[in-house]
Amino acid sequence: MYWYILAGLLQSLVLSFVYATRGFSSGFAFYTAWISQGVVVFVRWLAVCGVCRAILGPFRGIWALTWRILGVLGLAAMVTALALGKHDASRIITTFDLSLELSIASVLVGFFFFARYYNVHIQSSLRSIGIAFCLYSSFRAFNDTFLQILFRHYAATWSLVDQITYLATLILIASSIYVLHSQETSRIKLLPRQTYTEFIPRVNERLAALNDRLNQLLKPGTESKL
Amino acid sequence: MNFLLLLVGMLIAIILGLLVWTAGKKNTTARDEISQQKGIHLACKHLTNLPQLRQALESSDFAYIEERLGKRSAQKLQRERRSVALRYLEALHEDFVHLMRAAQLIASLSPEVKATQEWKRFKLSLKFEMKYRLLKAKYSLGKLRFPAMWNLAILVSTLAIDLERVVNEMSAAAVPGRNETSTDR
Repeated sequence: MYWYILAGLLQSLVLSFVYATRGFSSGFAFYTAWISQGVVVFVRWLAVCGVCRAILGPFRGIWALTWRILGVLGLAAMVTALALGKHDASRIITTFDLSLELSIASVLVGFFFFARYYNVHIQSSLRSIGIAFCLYSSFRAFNDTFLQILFRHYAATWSLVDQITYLATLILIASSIYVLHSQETSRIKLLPRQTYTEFIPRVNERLAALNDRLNQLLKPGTESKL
Repeated sequence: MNFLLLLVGMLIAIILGLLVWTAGKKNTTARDEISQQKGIHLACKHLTNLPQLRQALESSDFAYIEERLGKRSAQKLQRERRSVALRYLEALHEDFVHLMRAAQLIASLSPEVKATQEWKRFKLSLKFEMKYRLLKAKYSLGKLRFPAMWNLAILVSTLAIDLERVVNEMSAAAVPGRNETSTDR
């Protein structure tokens, strides 16, 4: 997460310098802005993975399952957005941006779903960071879509709106990181391996039996046989 | 409105809706509590009330009351008994939810889980939820009698007994000197 904040700050510095020396509308500024944006989004991806790992990582079993599913989910969201977006030369970059943002947002929602399903306790500061990343990515994806449709007429508004939300997200994340450091980390004691292999298949069998019984109950006229 | 905007807008609305649903819940089970299995509630309290419920739902009992109090009063009583039975069904569901939570807890604290088993349980619990709601609706309409509920109660209780045994084993395994895996955050 530190790297993300650092990357964001560095990008602002580099872009300010480029805009001041080469002009805002120059080709060099255009490429610098989008390449640096690519780097920042990549670092944000790593930060999101870091948040997910910090929360679910200690639960080795479910983490091994979760990260694989989230990987597939992220890839699926990315491919969908790439297929949906426009592919002409001037819009292809925003299509890539849209796909990355949609992918980050989907992965985070999927991650929160897993944490809720397994009733994993999430420290409030880590939860805030996850929500901030998800909201920012969702918002940016929406903003990118508007930009694809309205293009030049929307460019100035797009930039302004993006800057405001970016700053708000950065402040929220920085304050959450500050709070996170003052919180204690707890130790997770895992169960012996055989507990799962012995117990869970039996629970599933019992659940299947329960569902069969419910099926019978729901069929008219079969109740008396039960 | 543009198709792309509509589609992405809908996708994002779904993502945000899910975000509110998934991240909004306060997890009550603290990590240190998890490791000590304090979050597991296995007692099936519903079983103690089952005999009374059986009597209340017996058709012979209803006929006797009708004979003694008249049709109108008997019907009123029947309605009240049905609402009690519905509450019993809800309590049964609550027990099932507790048992599922215990199973999730065991899965989350296991060093290795099997995707097939997890998927199976997820699918089965979803099915259970749907069928429970259908059953409840059926019961509210008076189309279900006691034997059906008895069967359901027995199944949930057997699951609870199985779980209780495993939790006891887990507690025994947690005694220092036994084979256990641990990790640090």
